[in-house]
Amino acid sequence: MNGYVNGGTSTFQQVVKEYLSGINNAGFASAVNYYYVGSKITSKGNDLNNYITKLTPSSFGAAGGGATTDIGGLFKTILGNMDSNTISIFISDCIISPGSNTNTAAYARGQMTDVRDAIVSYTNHYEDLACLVYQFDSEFNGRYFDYQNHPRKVNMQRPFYIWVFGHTAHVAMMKLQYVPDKDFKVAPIRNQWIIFNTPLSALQDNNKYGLLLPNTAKNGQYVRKSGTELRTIQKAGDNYRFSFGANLLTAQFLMGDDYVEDTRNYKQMIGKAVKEKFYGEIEKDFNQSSPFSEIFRVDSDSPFQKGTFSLAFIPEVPDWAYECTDTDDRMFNGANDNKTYGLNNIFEGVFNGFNNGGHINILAQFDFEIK
Amino acid sequence: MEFFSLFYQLNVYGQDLFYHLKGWDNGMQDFVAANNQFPTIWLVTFLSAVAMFVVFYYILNHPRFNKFWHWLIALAVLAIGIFIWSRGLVLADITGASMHPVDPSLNISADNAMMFGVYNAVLSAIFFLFFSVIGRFGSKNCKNAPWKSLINRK
Repeated sequence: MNGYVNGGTSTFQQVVKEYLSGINNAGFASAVNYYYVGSKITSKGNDLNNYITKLTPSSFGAAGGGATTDIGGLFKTILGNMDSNTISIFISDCIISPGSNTNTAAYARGQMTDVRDAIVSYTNHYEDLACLVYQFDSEFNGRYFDYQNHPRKVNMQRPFYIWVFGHTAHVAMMKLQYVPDKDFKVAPIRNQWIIFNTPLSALQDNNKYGLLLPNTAKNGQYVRKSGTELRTIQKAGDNYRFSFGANLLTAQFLMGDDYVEDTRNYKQMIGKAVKEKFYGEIEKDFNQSSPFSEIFRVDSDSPFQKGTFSLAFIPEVPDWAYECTDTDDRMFNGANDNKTYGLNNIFEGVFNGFNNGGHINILAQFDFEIK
Repeated sequence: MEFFSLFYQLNVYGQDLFYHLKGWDNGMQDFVAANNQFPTIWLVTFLSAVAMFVVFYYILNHPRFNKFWHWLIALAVLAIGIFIWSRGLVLADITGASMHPVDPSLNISADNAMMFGVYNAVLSAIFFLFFSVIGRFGSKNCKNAPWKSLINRK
């Protein structure tokens, strides 16, 4: 982290200051406290300016920074010190540094497990949890330790991450109301992701979904018995198809249209088990008077089986987390300049924490009866 | 309410018009019972057939109107009346001059209105024929219209 700080003027420090002051200005928190988190937690009081301007390599060192970055341990520390009324913000380069560990892959997998365990431990105790992460770029000028723990001088743009943990309603309000994306003026958000375990039905009033009229070829050919019952699905073009609309407005605000419309985040269910991935397409509903925000077109190359058809919204690790994962950071060659070593392990750990054991993190489910 | 829709399931006048008359609400993306026009349409059609049947067999009930073509005229008057009324009802919906304007997402034209008029006219004729077959025996002078009843032959 040392290369990100230079006495308060780096993009990293400015973004952090902008975000934290936005939280202060919103005035929704009864108390705000700042810490350095390394091998130990060091309190830095509640003066934001003081906190930001005193971010220096030596201050990090004093907080217990070492050759090994135990991201999983940091997650455990942060989530272990939270309760349901706390929002924790964790700012890091998120580089998993195995240090002197020679089996780097095993170390990275261990980090994934630690992150998962941190999430599971918290949700077992408090149940409701949202995890929001922003990715930014900032100039980095300092010594960079690669995954084999070899230092080298680096002076370039590098990504860093702001993680926000808390009750879903609190994090959602913070993201949508108190510190919305448009308030980041210093540097644009490169990517972001949010995962939570509160069903959408608890976050929004209108959770309506229902079958569309089969009055266009695009919607398919079937008999609409009611909003959730249909029969006689006929082949329309190459596939058997039916269409339905759903209100996912809150998810769109929180997660973004592209993520909500990514078919990878939907699974066909049988009972409480995932059966297979979703075949079809999702697009925005531009009908102004419609109660739906998204239109789902469900395709099958063979006739649909009679019975209950269930589609569940189960948020996956976003594509960008994999695209931004570096597997070898001994040299930055242009292709991996903006990547973070081992990043996928952290995201998969978070995802696994929300989908642990027999639990599937279903945010919304659409059930239809095919007769 | 499904009972009334059953009489209009044959898709010869346009699927979108069926959805409209059944009460499709674009804002709800569902059928709304309060917008369902089939009960009214069916009742008007059915009661018109009943009324024409009563008028022909029991009020008019004249020996000079005991021929098949007299009965056919009664049926034609009924069917034409229902055709004009049904077509007009849909046209009023299309132009927005009614309580149930057509939703822009539904594709309904004057041709659909014409076909629905024909459909409902045929339906009224079937009702009239049905009552003529089963209910004419109480008529003193017209019980042999449209054709001589087997019951009369004994």
